[in-house]
Amino acid sequence: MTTLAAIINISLCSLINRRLTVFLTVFAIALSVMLLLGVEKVRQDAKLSFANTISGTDLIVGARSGSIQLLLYSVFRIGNATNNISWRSYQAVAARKDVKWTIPISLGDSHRGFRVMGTSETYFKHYSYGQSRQLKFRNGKPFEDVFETVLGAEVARNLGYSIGDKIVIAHGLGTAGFAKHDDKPFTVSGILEHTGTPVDRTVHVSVEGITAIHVDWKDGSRVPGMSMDAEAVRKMDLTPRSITAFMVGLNSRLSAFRVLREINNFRREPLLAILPGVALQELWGLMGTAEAALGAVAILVVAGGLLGMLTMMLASLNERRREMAILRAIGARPLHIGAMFLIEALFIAALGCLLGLVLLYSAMVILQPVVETQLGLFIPIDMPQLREWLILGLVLVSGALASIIPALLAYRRSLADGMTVRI
Amino acid sequence: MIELSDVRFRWHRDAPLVLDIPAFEVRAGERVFLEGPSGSGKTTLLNILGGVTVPETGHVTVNDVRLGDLSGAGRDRFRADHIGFVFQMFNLIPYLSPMDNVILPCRFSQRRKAAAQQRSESVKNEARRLLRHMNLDAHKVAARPASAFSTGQQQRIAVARALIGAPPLVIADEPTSALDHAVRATFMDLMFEEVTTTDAALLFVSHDSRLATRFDRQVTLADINGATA
Repeated sequence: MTTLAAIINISLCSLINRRLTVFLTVFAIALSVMLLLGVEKVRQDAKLSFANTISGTDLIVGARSGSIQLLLYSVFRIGNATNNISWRSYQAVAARKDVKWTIPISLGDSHRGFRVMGTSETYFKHYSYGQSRQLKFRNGKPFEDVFETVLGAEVARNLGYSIGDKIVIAHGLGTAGFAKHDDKPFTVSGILEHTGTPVDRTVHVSVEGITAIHVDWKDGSRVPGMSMDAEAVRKMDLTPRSITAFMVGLNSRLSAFRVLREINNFRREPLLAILPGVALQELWGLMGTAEAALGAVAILVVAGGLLGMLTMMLASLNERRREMAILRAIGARPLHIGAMFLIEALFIAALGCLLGLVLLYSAMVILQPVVETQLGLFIPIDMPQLREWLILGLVLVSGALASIIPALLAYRRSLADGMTVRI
Repeated sequence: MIELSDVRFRWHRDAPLVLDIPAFEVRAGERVFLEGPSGSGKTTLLNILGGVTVPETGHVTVNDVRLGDLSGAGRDRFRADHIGFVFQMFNLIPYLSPMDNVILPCRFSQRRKAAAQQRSESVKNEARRLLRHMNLDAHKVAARPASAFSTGQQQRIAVARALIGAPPLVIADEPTSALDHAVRATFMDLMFEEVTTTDAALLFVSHDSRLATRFDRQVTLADINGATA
């Protein structure tokens, strides 16, 4: 065994001898590493998840408000629209020669906490996510009848629905919708494949279906004395008067800015058209400060963990002077003594990183389904990426740098004490 | 084995001399009893002999090597190769087993490792032999940390460590002062026996002059150290 191996062996035995304080230090570093990596992972995966939610859509059009607000409620089902847009305006834009396809979006109702979206069959044909991936049916088919619905994967899994089941839509949002359209239940005609996007948490019906359930409603409540059953409603003209927003696919992307400008200058009604990618960038810009603050807190927590290690090593320095003197007597150089402290710090930091990774992945396994259900955010459990390895490397290097102080002190003390210590 | 000429030492320039030894010698295989009261400079002398402290003037030669000619690292290496130390107490690294404590010098010295292997085929075998010779069963003591043993047992383990790899010089700094009378006699017997076997020189520092009769020569530090005169 070489001298270095002996020094490593002594360092490890010394750590084992002080296992309680060492474990607490390792645990403090592990928690801080878990937090740092967790923040980084959520930050990256949230961005990826958001960016993957929509692809191939050139424009999103809604009532005039803010571009981020329009993006959030139309694509991510976060927040609400300030106003609707008329069906006539929608049709006017849809009829343009440069428009290839449109997807109407009608929001405002819910089913047991999941948002209901009124749309058309073009949604299943043209909406794409991730790398131009189209929606696929796990079971069944798109809605054909007014009172048919297509469920996102998470809705079906969470509520245990299958094809043919009947569901009742509640008026308004929230888990406890008191006003229910229970006289006009919808039959599940299809269940979509899991996408890892808000689509999974959406109940899809036709825009005609949305009109149908509101025929005998006004201002958020049923019109007294006016009740129409589903069959009677089915025979009516169910063309909606207004929708919340719509997505647009263009024949040529080159025309995007021109169409955008023209829609924004639409005379009949104040409309807002946005480019999803640009709005997403605005969103990141808005979140940048919060991200930086969160990152800074995580870095400070890691610094706190490493400071704990430094404190532990400095506190042990005095009680280890005899140990250092013995090692000097048998031929250890002051450099060896300093190296012992460096090795101990590296070992503690490495164990902290390793335990931090284990804690992070354990937390991810436990929390992934909860986060997906509650926040609609899909955090994939995959191997740490280069950036995460770099962070771990930085923690190790910081640990080594922090140990320079006790290592230098140990070096100097062992030079001064020599082989004998009088304590 | 040890040769000191005109060795002077003080802690800093304005401090009084701690050591002023015109000449002192220990021959190979000789057992010397060095007597001196507390504060007479014994520990400083041992640090100089071990190469940890460098004298202000004069020459220190150990095993025909002038320590002043060596670098700091060279002196550390020389100490690891040629000198075995036993101190008054707290000789062992408490969290290592007695076996690990005994073989520790062989981790820092290839010379002592080779010597231990030559004598008992392996370092561990030599450590077991020495522990057995110190009346300690290597198998029984293997599982416990050194701190679990009595002071007398710890001192015997320390002697085994000082002797492993047959260093030509053993320096013992009041190794018996923490032992009671019965244990002290056994300890001295065992140490002498092993030192005789390896033909090592022994410099035994103590203020207990009753032990002096067992040695080849008795030296009082005050007699050789002009600084305390």
